[in-house]
Amino acid sequence: MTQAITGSNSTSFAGELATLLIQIESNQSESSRLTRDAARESYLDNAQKQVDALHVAADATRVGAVAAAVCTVASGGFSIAAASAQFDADVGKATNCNALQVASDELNAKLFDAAAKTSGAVATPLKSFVGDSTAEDFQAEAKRFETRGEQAKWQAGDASSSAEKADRLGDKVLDLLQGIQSDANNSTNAIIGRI
Amino acid sequence: MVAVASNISATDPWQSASSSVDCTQANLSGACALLAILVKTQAISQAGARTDIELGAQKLEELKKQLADAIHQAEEAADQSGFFGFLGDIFGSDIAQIAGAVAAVAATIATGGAAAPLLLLTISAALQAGAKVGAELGLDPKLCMALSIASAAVGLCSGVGSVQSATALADGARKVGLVANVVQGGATATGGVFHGISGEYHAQQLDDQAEAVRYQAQDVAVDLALQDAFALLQNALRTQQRETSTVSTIVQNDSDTNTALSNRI
Repeated sequence: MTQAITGSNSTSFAGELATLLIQIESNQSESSRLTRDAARESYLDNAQKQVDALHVAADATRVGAVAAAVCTVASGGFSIAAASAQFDADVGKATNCNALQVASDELNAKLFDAAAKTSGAVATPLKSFVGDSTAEDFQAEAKRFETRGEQAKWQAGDASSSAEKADRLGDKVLDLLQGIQSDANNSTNAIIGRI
Repeated sequence: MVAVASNISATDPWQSASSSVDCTQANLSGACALLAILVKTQAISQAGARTDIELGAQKLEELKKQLADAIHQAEEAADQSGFFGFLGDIFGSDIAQIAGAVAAVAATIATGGAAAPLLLLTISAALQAGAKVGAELGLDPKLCMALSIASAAVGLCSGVGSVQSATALADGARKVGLVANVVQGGATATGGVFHGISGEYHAQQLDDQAEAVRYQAQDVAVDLALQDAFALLQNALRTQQRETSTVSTIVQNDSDTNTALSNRI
């Protein structure tokens, strides 16, 4: 026994097809949104890491500057002490003072001078090693996170576009389904009028 | 559905018409009720989206101000860092070098003994010649100036030395050397302090840059959230329009069906 293809069957088929299409587009949209959210999370995460790296670089710069300043100030202080001791020694020698005192002053002058030269020589390498090189490392790290963040932003933008496209396609399918339903209703009404 | 309708109309046309109207009214009221619920839901979504948009716009404005402040502070810190670095270079390098040169000359004179006046004249002439030749060869003008000043000072001392004893000259040279050494040490220390302040400002600049990056990231996040809210609002409006259209079609269809049935009866 054959069964005629009725209007309701065709409507049902179209409805099922439309439902399937809408489901596919909905899944696509949802997937794109998930991708976009993940990309946004990645962007924010990388931005936070970039900020942290820049703060660490700033701290390293600060520590290096303070260390170098301490060494330089110490060097200046030792220089003054060395000059003072040397002056005492010279005056003592010129006035034929106690030889032991003169020797002591000369020794002090040499020690202070050595300390001044050492601390002065250490200041620049210390600043470079503790401050500048560490800061540059972390600035490079920050740059890398910035690049990753930009990539994540692009991915988020692409995913947003994809989600919008899927939404638009879903809307089109819904419009199509409405049209089919409207046609089916008109047909049914026509049949009712014909009966 | 069509077959059922035809059977009913065949058995009892009046009753069928009555029940069909009841059914249509039920469908109509159901559709309208559904529409009311859907529109209410969409209205809630729209209100939420509008609130999000308003809040996002306010936050975006605040973040832009904070970002501008952070950038301004970073620029100020960079300026301060440059200024103190310049001062540090002047004290730690130029002044300290000049004072060191004076101290070295003074030390030479102090240890020169009886030959000090002659030594002074020689040094003065050498310094003067060095300044001239240096200027012609394109040496740093500051250094040339320092050499000229040192030459004049040494020449003056040699004149003094001609009338004073060599011992007094050596004493004076020692004192000058002490002062020059103290000035050199003080200039070095001051330069170190200024360089430290410069480094602190440079670190502050990096901190401000980091804050600017943070505000920028927040700005992007809020901007994206704002776009989402706009999309949600747009979607809600579109959905509401579609739902209204769909229910309108249903009502129209019911009306057409009723008309067709009435005409048929």
